[in-house]
Amino acid sequence: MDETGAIDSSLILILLGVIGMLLLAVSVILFFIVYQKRSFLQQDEIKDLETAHQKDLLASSIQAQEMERKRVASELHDGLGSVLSAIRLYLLHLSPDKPPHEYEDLLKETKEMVDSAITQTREISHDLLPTILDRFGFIQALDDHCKRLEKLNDMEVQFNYDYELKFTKQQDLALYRIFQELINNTLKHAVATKIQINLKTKENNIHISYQDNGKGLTEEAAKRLSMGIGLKSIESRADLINAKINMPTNLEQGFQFNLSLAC
Amino acid sequence: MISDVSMYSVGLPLLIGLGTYWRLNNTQKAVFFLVLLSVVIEFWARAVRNMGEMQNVIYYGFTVGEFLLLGIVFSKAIIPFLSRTFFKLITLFFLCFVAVDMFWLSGINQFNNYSTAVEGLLLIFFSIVFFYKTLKELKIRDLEKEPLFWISTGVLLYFSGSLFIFLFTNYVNSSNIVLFIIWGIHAIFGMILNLFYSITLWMKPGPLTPH
Repeated sequence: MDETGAIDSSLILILLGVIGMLLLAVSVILFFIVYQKRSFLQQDEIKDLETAHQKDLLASSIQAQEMERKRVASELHDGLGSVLSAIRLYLLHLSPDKPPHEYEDLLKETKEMVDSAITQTREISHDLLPTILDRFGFIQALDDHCKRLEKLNDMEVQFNYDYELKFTKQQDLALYRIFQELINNTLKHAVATKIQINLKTKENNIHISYQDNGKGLTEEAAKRLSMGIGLKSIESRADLINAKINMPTNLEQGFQFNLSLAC
Repeated sequence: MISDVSMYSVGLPLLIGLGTYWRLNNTQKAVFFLVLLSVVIEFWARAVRNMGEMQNVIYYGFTVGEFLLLGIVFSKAIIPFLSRTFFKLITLFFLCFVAVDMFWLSGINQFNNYSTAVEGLLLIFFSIVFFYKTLKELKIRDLEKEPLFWISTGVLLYFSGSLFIFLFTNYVNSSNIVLFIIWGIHAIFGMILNLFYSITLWMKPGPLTPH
């Protein structure tokens, strides 16, 4: 009886061990299969989101390009084009047979219009690609832009930087366009009186912060803004130079934008 | 009876392996050689059964052969996740342990329970590392098209199920009924392992997921 009992208990112990180990092994295998499938699903979802975002950025970039072309076309047609047409009309009235005192005023006005045409051409060219950006880079170009802003608008614009950093041509252009867009947004929507831009380097990173004292950005406004072409254009330019951006919402006052970029 | 069925079940992967050998990759070929080794060892053991207890020496050889072949298969998949030196050290440790088991622990004339248990523990570890690495890298999308998934699953089920049998059978009073039940259960796990080997040899491996 004792021997049978001992046999039974040893058999039961081994069987329990076998079943326990087997259950453990089956659990490991099932966990592995389920987790692997789920990880791939998550990876696919992230990829889909990334693709959708890229498509969105591309569409916005194309739209922004079209808008810029439209703006340039309108400036050429309504501004420069009409000045040139007027010059042509004035020139038709000039005749060598007439005595000089008769066309002196006309000649003066024509000269003024030619000057205006030259100025407008410079402005269009500057808007498209400032010469200073090409020659001296982003920091000088933004500094120049800020100074011009202060002169033209009733606004205090501060641009602080430790020392002049050298960026690549691609970074120069992308950074300039990003801050140009931010400044335009402030001028158009913020009702601000002050803009402050700080450029600092820290731990092999360049940090640029932009702040105005305008209406600021509520979460709702941020949502609307995120749908707009301006912000998407900023995002795609930041992506292009591998910069990280963020815009804190619901600040007590004003709008803030931060950009960081590896040196 | 069930032990006989288990022994004959090795015929299934053998036949499949013979039919598909021309298109097997290196991992599958290693499994085929393992199946071939099982068949040879089984026939050899039966042939020398009349010579008495000497047949147990053959099983030591099988344990070493099985560990080396599966070790190569796992090492190819796991290196450099685990270093080559680690694999070499593990193999050296295992070979030393088999020698110790053969001459001191179990003895040359006894069934190599301890060697098989340690082999099982090491192969269970390799299987789990393979699963972990697969999850971490996420390169294999279709698990059913990856031979090593079937090998790892088979190895994990067989050795997890059999580990207690190898470790504690020596402590069971030699009652024929108990031993019959225990080795019957082991035979079922053996059939499951052969089934997984058969799937491994039958399947056509799929490409890895491009990253």
